[in-house]
Amino acid sequence: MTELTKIFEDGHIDTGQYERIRESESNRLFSIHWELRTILYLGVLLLSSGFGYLIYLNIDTIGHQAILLGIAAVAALCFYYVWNHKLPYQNQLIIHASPFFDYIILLGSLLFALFIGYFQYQYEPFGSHYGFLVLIPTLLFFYCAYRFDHKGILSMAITGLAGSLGLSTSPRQILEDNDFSDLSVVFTALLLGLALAAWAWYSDRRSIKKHFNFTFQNFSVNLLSIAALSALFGQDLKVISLAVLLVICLYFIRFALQQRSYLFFLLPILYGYIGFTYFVFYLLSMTDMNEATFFVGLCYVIASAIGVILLFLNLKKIIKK
Amino acid sequence: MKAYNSNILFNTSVKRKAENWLAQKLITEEQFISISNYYNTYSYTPNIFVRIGLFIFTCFIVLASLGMYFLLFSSGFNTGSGFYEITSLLYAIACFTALELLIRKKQVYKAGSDDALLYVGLISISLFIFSLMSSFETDSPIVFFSSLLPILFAACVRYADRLVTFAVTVCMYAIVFLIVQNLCGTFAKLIMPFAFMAFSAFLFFQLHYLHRKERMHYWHSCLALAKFVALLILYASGNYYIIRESGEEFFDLHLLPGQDIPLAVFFYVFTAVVPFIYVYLGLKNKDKILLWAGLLVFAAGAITFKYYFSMGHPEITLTLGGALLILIAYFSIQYFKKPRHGISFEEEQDADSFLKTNAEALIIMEGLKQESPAIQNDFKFGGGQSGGAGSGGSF
Repeated sequence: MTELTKIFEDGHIDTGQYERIRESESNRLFSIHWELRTILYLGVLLLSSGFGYLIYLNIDTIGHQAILLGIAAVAALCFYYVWNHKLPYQNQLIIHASPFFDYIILLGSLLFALFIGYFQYQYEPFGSHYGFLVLIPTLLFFYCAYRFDHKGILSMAITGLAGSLGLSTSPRQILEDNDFSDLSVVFTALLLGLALAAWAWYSDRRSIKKHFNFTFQNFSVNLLSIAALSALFGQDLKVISLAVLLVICLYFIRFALQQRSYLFFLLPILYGYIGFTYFVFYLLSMTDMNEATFFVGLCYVIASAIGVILLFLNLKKIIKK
Repeated sequence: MKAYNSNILFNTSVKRKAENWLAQKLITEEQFISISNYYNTYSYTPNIFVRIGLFIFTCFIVLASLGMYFLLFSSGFNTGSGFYEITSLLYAIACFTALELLIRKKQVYKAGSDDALLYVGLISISLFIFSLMSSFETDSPIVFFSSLLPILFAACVRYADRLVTFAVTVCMYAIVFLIVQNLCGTFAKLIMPFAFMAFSAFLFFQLHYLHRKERMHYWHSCLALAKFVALLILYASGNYYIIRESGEEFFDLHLLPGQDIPLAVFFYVFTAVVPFIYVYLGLKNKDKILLWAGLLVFAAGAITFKYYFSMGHPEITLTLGGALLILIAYFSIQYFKKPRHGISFEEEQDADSFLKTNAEALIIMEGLKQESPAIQNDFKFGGGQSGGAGSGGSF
């Protein structure tokens, strides 16, 4: 028995609808939308990294200026196309008619960043101020992200903004590359995270590109929590760090409940739990360690985990309020 | 035999289809709501992120209780004989008892906690087998895999879990590998690829036959996954790189410069042609599993040829490869803009894309469902793109 016959036999639809649905199910088109888009995306990534590699290898040879010119020409073509096919700006989501639009603007932006990087390497217009160097493509990315409504470029822009402040935000490098034992790095990360959260809050209230909020909040929650956690692990100000972390987590949990967003519910709970558990074990480690402290620690893990599970299980009731 | 009630699971699938039909405007909102209220589904199947959270914290509990057990019953690390066997067996029993109770009393289905208990239980059983084997002083892998296989298979049949299905498939391939290696001796390296191909093809067609049966509904996702794995291994067992490297790894095949593996031409052709066959068959039969497997092995084949016939210019390969992919995508999109041969570039109007744009409205509706059926009837959520404001709601 299929799903269709079941609802038909249970009397939810009439014969005409039954026939129509059966007809549409058997004539259903096979969509390869996401497969082709993925191939297109991979192509853009390979092409831009191929260009980057090409410059890197030929940087001191005769041909490098020709290559550079080629890249600039391709980037210019991309922006020319985008400029001629753009739709008027609006605060709501903009859907461009051509499926290629998003990828052309992405390619143009990637190549522009490449071009600036090369320019700096060759002529050093900004000397050793790498922050400025990253800031120029970042500004362009922010403009493109808002003007042409592109979440991918928005992520690149936020990464660039963090980079110009000397921070890494990619998930793999957020811990490796950032030296959180330096208190000023922690403060920079906290400030940037706060700024992103504040902008997300403001643009949500003013309805400016509300669909970008997910990206802003996602960067913000990870940056803030990891900075606070690193301060907790690495610095001596345990109580203050823990308090900051818990405030951050509470803010995002409240936000998650407002937005009914499960991801923003999970992340602060995980971060908060890690911080709190670290603190409990830190306190336990100050006592003289024996089997009893170990036992207390295990009891804490079991009890707290049961608590979190109950919280998750009753999430629907909490969200409904 | 089935841990979860298959009628209830079928109801879930009815609801999902109804969502599709609603998105395609084949049924009305009133009908959709009456369908949603008519069929009961598992009371607790949470969002993926809640599931991850429940999984992690259930693992914490399970591991902490193991720690507590050790603290209470083992005196240091100097434990008597049979301690690890008994511990792992007791632990497995505890996990499965908890799992069964959770499913029966709490009506959970794929909620994270049940997954965690299932996996930890199965890992305990494998540790039990392992420690039992070491107390009998055998370390024959074939004994291990063949005693593990029936247990994994039973768990797969009962709980219809995809990760367990994957473990069953791996276990079967391990047994095939060990049998061929033991039986064929020095010829094993010649026979192995063909044994794997034959076994994969056999497995694929069996699974494909079962997958189309209505009565196998309970295991649909498991069968789909196993089919996918069988297709990938079918390709891998004839891929030139894998044959050559595994020959050196497992069968003491040492090639001198200028030498090539036996039947090299066959494996080259296999590496190059099979991806096209997969993609073609996937498109022809409108089979996403074949299509995805085809795209994956296409990339694998391209990398294989790149590896052996490299011109030493990765930058040119990258650039040309990228340009080629863009061109392929461009012409395919242009070609399939109008539906041809029943294939279209048009995004499917199904529940997934529907949920993406209307997530918030649907979640709000879910929240209102039990309390006031009257409210939902007025609730409008079919508004196409306007739902874009709800982005992030589904996450």
